[in-house]
Amino acid sequence: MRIKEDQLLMIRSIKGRPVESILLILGIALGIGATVSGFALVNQSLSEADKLLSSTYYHEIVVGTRQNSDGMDIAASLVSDDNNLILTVNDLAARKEVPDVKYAYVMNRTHLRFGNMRLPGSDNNGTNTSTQGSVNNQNNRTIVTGNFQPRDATGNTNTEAMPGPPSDDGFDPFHTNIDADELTSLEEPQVEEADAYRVTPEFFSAYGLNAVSGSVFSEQDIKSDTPSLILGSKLAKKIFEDAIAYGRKIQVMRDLYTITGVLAETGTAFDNEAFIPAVVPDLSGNDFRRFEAWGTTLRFIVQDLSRLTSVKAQIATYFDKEYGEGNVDISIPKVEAEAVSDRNLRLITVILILSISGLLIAIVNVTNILVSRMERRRKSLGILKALGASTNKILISLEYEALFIGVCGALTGTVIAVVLSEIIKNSLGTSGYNALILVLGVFISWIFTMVVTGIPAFQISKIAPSEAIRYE
Amino acid sequence: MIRLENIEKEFDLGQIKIKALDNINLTINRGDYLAVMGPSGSGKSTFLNILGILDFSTSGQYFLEDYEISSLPDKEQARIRNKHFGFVFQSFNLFSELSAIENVMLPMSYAGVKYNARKKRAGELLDWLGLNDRLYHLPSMLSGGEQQRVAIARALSNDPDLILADEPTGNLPSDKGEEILETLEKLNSNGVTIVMVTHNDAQGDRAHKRIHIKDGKIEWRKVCA
Ligand SMILES: Nc1ncnc2c1ncn2[C@@H]1O[C@H](COP(=O)(O)OP(=O)(O)OP(=O)(O)O)[C@@H](O)[C@H]1O
Ligand SMILES: [Mg+2]
Repeated sequence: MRIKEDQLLMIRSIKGRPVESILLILGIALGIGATVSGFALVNQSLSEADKLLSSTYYHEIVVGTRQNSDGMDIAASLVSDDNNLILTVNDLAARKEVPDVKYAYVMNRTHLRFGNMRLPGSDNNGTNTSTQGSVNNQNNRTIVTGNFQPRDATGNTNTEAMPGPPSDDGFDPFHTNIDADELTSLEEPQVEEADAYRVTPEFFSAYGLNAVSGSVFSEQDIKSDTPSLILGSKLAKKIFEDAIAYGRKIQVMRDLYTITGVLAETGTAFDNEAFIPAVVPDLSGNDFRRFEAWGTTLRFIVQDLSRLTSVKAQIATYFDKEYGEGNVDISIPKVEAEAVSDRNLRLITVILILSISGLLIAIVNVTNILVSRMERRRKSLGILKALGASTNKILISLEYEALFIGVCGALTGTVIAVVLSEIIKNSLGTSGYNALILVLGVFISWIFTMVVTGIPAFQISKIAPSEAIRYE
Repeated sequence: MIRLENIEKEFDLGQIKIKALDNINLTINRGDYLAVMGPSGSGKSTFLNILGILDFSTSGQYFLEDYEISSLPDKEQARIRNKHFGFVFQSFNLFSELSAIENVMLPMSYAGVKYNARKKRAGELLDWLGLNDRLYHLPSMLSGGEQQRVAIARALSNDPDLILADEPTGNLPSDKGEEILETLEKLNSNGVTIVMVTHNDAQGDRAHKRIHIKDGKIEWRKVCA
């Protein structure tokens, strides 16, 4: 079917004013884009906030020493000698006096280096006798992981490996539990390093982490001092070529760890992390592990969020008694996070108001342009009526035109909304736009265009042709 | 064909009301050639608009072949304008976005004429009016006389019974006006009814019937030989 002349007239009148038509389409597009992405942002933030509020993290009370209360590892040189307060796994005992605590655990950030590190005094094959001797020393095993480095007496960090034989106090940074034969049989891991947590068993319960193979740590693992390692699901797949990790041994710094468990996939950052037991160091002696204990934070989970503050007070009582008033820092992450989320909410409200204003401005402008466009075409419409167009036919052709502009605007607006949502997604790390919201946005904008154009179209289509023709 | 009874038209301008037509009684027969004359502002255009169903009287009755026009639905009125009436305006009123032939084809598309048929007829009409080398020109590329001839071709496209012309020669030099007038007379001799508003006494005298409107009333009427 060939295009009819009245449709031709409509198409050419749109084409004849390209700037105006593009402005109309852009006006609608920006209005839709702004509103849809504004709502997408709100939707995301709300669902993110929901997720955060229901996460384990929000039920925590965190206990740390003054120096590490901000949760960051601080340079060892900044720890003054007289303030040698170190919290340990044993301090989880505070929970005994607080029935509201559901879980209590240690969760310390650390970092593990995997692989065949060259052992001191040995060649690359690890067949040196000096490593042989250390096997006998299994009980005085040294773990060197994370950011902790041995200090000398003045508190300065030793960045270079300490030469020479073990000193009298048993401090031996080159200590290893690795047997030379074992070393040669070890597979080279595919991953050089991983973020890790030093944890106690209840950590896994608190975060609902389960092992798919092997098991999570037990109280026994904390006490028994066997070097065991638990891997997140993704990390486990990455480390070995055949993706089977459970039961294997892996060198971590100078020690050999057995992978005693692999966690089920959670879809969180835990999937890429490793877990080693937070053991109780012998603080009285010169156990090298006292270094590991620096920065230990204890975490207490309170199920009933309304009890957080009173539980905090109870826990404070315990630590004040134990270590003296004010020496231990106790914080509630939820309270701090809520302040941040409050600020975010205010920002989002502003953004939402801006995007709705964008839509309003678009509505006003689009209506204006459309009305003036129709006014200009009054005469044409009057002639069309004189030539035999009914009121309905005029209305339909005006609506087609509006529909065309509306659809172009909605499509462009959707593209804008998707792009903006992608940016939001990338910058906020949220789950991105919601298809439902997009569909809703397009639908709303379609209705909006129909209403905005429909009212003037309806009025102008009713005009008597004689009236229209009088316009010169 | 047309019978007007006590037609009145009042324009309501808020504070004042303008009576543009008052007590118009008139019969128009098939094949008539009627000239409508009168001073400016007397109501000639208003009369022609009501006759062409481009506007409605405030009171009185308008019968077209015994149908009371105002009782017909909008769609039917549109169909009558499309199939039975042809309009020729002083200012041509062509669509500037459409070529000459497309302007002529447009009313036929409303009448449901197929593309090829309406294109053929539009070509023939323009050819008859001496515009066969102007088919694809836009109105802006045509002279006033040529534009008015395109407008006449458009008015003729659906083979109307009645042509309503409001000062069709008003914007044209006298020789071009004469051409238009001769064309209308040729159509009338072929049986098309013509109602033409004119200021020109000489033109009016050539019509078979004349009415003279003053202040919305028919002051006098005359049937020529
Ligand atoms: N749409 C309208 N609204 C208000 N007044 C109108 C309207 N149309 C016509 N009139 C008035 O009605 C009267 C008759 O107008 P009309 O156009 O019919 O005169 P006319 O005889 O055609 O004049 P001319 O020879 O100048 O074309 C005038 O006073 C005019 O101002
Ligand atoms: Mg007039």
